[in-house]
Amino acid sequence: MSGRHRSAAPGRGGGLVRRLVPPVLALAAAVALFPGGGTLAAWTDRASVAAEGMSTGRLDLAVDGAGGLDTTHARPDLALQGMVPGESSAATVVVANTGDADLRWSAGVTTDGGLGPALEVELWLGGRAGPDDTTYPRTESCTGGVRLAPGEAVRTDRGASRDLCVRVSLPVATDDAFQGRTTGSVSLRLDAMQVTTP
Amino acid sequence: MTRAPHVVALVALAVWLGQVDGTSAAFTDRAVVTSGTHTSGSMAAPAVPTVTQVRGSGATRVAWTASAVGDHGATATSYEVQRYDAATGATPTAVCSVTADPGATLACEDGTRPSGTRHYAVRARFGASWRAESSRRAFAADLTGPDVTVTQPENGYRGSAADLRRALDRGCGADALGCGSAADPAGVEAVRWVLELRPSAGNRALRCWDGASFVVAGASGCADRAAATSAVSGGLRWRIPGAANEVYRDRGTYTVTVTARDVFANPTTVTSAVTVN
Repeated sequence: MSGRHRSAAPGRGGGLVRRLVPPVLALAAAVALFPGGGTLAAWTDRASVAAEGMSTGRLDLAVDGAGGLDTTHARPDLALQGMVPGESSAATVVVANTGDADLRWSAGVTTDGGLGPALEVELWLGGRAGPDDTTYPRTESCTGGVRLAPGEAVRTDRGASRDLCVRVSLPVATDDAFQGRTTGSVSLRLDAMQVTTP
Repeated sequence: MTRAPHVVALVALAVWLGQVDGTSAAFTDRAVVTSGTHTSGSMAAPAVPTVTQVRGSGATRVAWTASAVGDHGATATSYEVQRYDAATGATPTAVCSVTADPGATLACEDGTRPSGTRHYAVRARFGASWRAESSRRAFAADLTGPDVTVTQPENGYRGSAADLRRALDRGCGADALGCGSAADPAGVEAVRWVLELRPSAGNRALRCWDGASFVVAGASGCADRAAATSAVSGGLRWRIPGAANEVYRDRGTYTVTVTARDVFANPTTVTSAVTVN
């Protein structure tokens, strides 16, 4: 008996395990293969939020209050007629950031015309032009500020402005060949770019 | 180990990308400021200078007026006088320069006294390089001295002292050691004389008439003395005052040297030698 008993008990328990193993594995595989559960049968909903009135900002470098994209501003008071060596003119232009973002700008100068190669231009950031000189020889200059190198970047935050004194001179050493020139001009180009990093 | 360079490069790229502004996405704007028209003035050519000769020194004086620069009343800051050997072309010689300070006299002198015709121009300057030159003025300086004659003692006379004194009396009047004339188109400024005696006997040293007596000449010869002059038509008469009977007495050779200068200091020298035996 005991022998059967001893032999019958293990034989009865091991058969149950063997019978349960396949369905458990099948269920586990099903769970693994379909982790979302029974979504095909779930209810769904969606909500939308509409943003109204969105627009882009603008970058605007204004000169003497004249803004707008890629504008040209005339300052005829920078010009002198009948210049002789040693004479100069100066004027203050106000460079303002009237746009929606901080910016950096840099200045480039070009001179043209028959007298252009002889003209010398200085830019003084933060400088102010002195009063008009109507006695001859006419010598106008910039007071204060720091000399601005060509291409040097100047940061001007939104709403801020900087004075820029422009001095145009005919140097004392101007060559004899530049007597009697009837054309000559100076063009100051200010290129601004949005500041995208703090 | 072989992956290290790639890793480093990727890290560097990432760092670089992180630092650079997103410029491709930044807004830009441009403003241009224009000046209007600049023009330059020019220098007017100076007026042709006036050229004269300076009385006394005989130097050539060049004078001119201020030269305008531009249209606003400026004038040249300095001037140079150029001398040419020809009316056109030729290489100039700088004679002098003048800085046009307020009140400065716009003139200068060429003291070289060149012979022949020369051509003078004024070159105005302004600044370091601007210049304009006038047309040229031809000028020939007077470099010729006066015409001088010696009436008495007549050059080459040989004879007695008495005859010489009589000739002097006839030609020059009483109490004269010599006389003659001097003439110059520009005018005679002065006549000076020297009277020497070279005795023919005894002490034969050269002697000079000092107005009172003959004295042995020094190392530099005899000092000249001013002659008395009086104006006559076309020039001057000159006269050496003195008592002829006291001067022309000893035997020997008497030499009168007369030098006349015109107003431009051009000299003419003549001599007249007579022998008393």
